[in-house]
Amino acid sequence: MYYLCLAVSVAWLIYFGYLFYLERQVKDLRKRLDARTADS
Amino acid sequence: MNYFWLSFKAIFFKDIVIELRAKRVLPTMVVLGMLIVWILRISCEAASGSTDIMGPAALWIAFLFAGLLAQERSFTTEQHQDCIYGLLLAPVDVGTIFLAKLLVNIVVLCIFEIIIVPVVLLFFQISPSGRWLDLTIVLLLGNIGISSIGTLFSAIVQFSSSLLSIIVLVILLPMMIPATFALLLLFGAIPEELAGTGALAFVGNFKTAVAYMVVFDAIFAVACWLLFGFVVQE
Amino acid sequence: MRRALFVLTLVIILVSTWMAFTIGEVVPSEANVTVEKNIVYVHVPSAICTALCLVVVLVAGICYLRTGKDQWDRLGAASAEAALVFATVLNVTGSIFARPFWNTWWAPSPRLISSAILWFLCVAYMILRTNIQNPRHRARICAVFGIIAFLDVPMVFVTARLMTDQHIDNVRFETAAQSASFGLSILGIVLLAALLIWLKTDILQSKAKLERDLT
Repeated sequence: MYYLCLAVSVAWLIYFGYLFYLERQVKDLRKRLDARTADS
Repeated sequence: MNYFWLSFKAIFFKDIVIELRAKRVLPTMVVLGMLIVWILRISCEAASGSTDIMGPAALWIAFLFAGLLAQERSFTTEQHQDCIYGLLLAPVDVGTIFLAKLLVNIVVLCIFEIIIVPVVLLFFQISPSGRWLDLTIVLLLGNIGISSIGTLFSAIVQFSSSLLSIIVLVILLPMMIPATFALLLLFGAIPEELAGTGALAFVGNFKTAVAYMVVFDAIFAVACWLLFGFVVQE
Repeated sequence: MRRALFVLTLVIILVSTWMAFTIGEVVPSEANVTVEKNIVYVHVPSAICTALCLVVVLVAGICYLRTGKDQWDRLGAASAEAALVFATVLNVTGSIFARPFWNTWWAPSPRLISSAILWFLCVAYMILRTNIQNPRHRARICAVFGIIAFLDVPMVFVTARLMTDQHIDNVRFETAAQSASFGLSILGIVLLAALLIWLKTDILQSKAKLERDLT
């Protein structure tokens, strides 16, 4: 039981950690894009 | 067809003669191989591992790392004064260049093995117990597999100016492992009856392992031959 | 649209996990197998998705070499990164799975070595991706490497059949509930893969547009 929960939580950590990392990239890009359109 | 053989022979003999005369990489390979074998022999004592088990492993590791050196050689010799562009501009089919360099790599690896295999057999006091033909077949198949992928990957590294040449190690090693693992079965370190249990359960049956390597070599030689043109085009 | 896909994926993954823990519990097919066998609901979908992402890398690579359009290159890069994530989950859950059964965190058996090779190949793709500067050259080299890396995938899935292996036999699904939860978990992870690839492709597209506007 212990290993099962460990594995499921690690898998979720990796998946949602990566999703979170991608979302941060999106936010960063959006900031840069807005800054560019604000400038020009 | 005649033209193919002419250009193939020309490129092949050019590289082989350069290598045998200048001896750019063969001595380094042999020394590296012997160093690896020697270090593993020492650590075998220190870890009190049996020489039976570590002998084939030492041959395998020496073969992999010295094989990397051999692959790098295929295109670094052409770096001087941008010879590679001269080769590409010549009216030679790109596939012919790949095949010639592939054969050169195979020959260099064979020479290396002729030198290093007796060294391993002596250091580790093992013998293939009469299965010399099997040993030769497995080593040759491993050479073909490593050389086909290695020629392609060393071309990738040479043609990308910003890549460190050490990266070829990182790219190449994962592919080399399936190409050569049948070597471990050879010295009776894993008798065929016991293979399939425990840690070194990699190859169950020698014939299966050889068949696997043949298929592997066929697929990758053809794929690398076809893809080589894309790597070198501007 | 993407929000909807994200919510859908989350719901399906949650439901399939709940089902895996309750009604879908796998009946042991070997004597010493316990509830740990349920890890198959997480382990196998990630294997399927790694293969799927590498298929996408293959197709994107071939199409890029054929047409030279940048969107194929971006699709290939996004899928390779997703394949790396799934390969990580595959190896980590496999290793955690190995502990209760074989009392070790890893053992050199054909399937395990092949999946580790798969992981290293995805890492090598990312190394190539980050280290080559010229965009067109990078795209071409990554396409070539992606095609070579894909050729390893059948090897992974075939070695275990050809060679004697310690790997657990395929699970038999006794009841419809188990098959349903298994199918649902596969569906959830495949949707997650699609979401990851879509998101990353958009990121790469925006990045390319930004850089193009800068020059």
